[in-house]
Amino acid sequence: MKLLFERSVAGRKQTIFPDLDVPEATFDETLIRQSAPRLPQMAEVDLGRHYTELAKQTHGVNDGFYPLGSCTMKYNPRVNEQVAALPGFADIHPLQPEETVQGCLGAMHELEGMLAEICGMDAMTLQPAAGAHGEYTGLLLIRAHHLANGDTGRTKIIVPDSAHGTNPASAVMAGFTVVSVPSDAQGGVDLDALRAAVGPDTAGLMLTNPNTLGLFDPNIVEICQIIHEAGGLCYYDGANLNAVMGHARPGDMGFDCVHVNLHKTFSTPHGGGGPGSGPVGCKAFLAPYLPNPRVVERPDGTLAFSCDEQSVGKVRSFYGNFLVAVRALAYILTLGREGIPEASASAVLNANYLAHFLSEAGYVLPYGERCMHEFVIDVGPLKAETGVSAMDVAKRLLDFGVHPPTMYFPLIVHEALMAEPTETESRETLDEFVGLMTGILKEAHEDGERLHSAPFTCPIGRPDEVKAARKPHVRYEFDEEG
Amino acid sequence: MTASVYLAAVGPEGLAQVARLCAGHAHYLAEKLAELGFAPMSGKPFFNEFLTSCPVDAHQLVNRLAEHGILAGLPTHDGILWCATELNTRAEIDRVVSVVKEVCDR
Repeated sequence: MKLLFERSVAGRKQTIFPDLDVPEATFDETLIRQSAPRLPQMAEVDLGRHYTELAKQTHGVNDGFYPLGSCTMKYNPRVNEQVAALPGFADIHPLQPEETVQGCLGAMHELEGMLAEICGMDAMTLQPAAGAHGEYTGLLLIRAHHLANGDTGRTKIIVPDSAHGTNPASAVMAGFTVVSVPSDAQGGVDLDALRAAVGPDTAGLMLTNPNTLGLFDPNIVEICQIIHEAGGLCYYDGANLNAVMGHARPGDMGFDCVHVNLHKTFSTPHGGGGPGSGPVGCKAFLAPYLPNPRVVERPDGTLAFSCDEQSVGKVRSFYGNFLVAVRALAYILTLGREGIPEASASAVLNANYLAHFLSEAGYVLPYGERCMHEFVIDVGPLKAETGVSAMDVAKRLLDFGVHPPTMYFPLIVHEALMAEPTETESRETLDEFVGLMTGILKEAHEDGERLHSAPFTCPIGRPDEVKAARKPHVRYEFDEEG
Repeated sequence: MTASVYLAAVGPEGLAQVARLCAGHAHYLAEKLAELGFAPMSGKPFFNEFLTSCPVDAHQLVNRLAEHGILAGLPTHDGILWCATELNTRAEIDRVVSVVKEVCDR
């Protein structure tokens, strides 16, 4: 399709701005640009059609099933968008006097309280911009705690080998050294390896529960005890909170701090519709270290921003992605006390339903059919038999308007497809997916070679994804630049 | 994404008009405020934002403006930072100036 610059026609424009109603300001010639900016010149109707075309070439949650494991691609309710667009929330500035944004402070305060309740924490900050940013913030709290105790030798963060890749990355960013502990045969943390790994240099543990295999670690209380007895703190990566919200709380499992992904568990848009948001919660003893400023209630009942001298400082400008927080608040208020646990129960039920029927169809589930909100398929045996890889299966799904499951993650399953249907999908959608996957299995056995070329109906088939990530070509080059 | 749609919508001519409106409004506001004793803190050229002295209590002034439904002026340690954009009109700016004058005359 044509790019905006290729659709541009000289002199074409939209009339948006009024004429100048005051004397024109004059500037020294040296401060004025000599040529007009090279921007597209278009009519509104053509602009609308251009972006509609781009949207058609993009698969989103509204286009079809999106079982991208660990990403919790649930439906983003329209009412949340309407609430976030209210002028009192949308048309404000972060430097306005507090007296003029009491409603916004109220929304932040309420959301912090509700997230703290769901997580079993005592305090929250909405400042981190996404999950990994939340991890980093949580680790800064852990570091501040140890340093405040004069405990400068705690330099190591323990991370299980099934962890999200962001966990070790965040630990290194926060100045720690990472110690990896292996999983046991059931996919949980190997307790003996954990006991051997802890010591006086242990700053803490980062853990996702349920983990990336979709398994709830039955030893979670003991795991936290081992870390605490060694003098470390426990960080809960809340990326998979959608499996347990309303049923189990990280704070009750023994965790000291946690992040949640509003763009996963709390239904706010990912990607293009984002941005993300990764609020961090902690127990009371870590609260003084939370990023400044925090929303506090004054004695007269009004709300204000307050700074603490012990804070790790700001981790983002102003107060985080506020309008994302508003959407999450609308979601929690819509679901309420009964809806929150119902949502996670349905997410787990959907995943188990899908796991069962995919297993019955002939796919190998290395950790069994029982799972929490997501599960891992091992395409390794199919590849050995037919040559068809996890990549081939994933690419073939694109032809049917389905976004594939997460590929090649977790790393401990080499030909992994990790599927997370979420609670918002109907039984009919899950059945259709099983039908598609069954069909692909049949194709693999009949003509596996052909699947190496899938997809067959998409605008592009198999891009060089490494090059696309490392050397993205996103700048338009005008003719005269060659 | 929003920014790229915006730039494609306004185009080269529209963007220049945004600049004319911003600069014109800001300079008009600066001129009117200077007449009330709000002296520019820098003699250098400015676009749509400028710092002035504040002959009255800056926080009281901002609060008074807020009572009139106007969020204008950011108090700084030595003055007040003003801004006008393409979204403002001459009538709005005149209203700001009249409230500022009322506070100064008290």
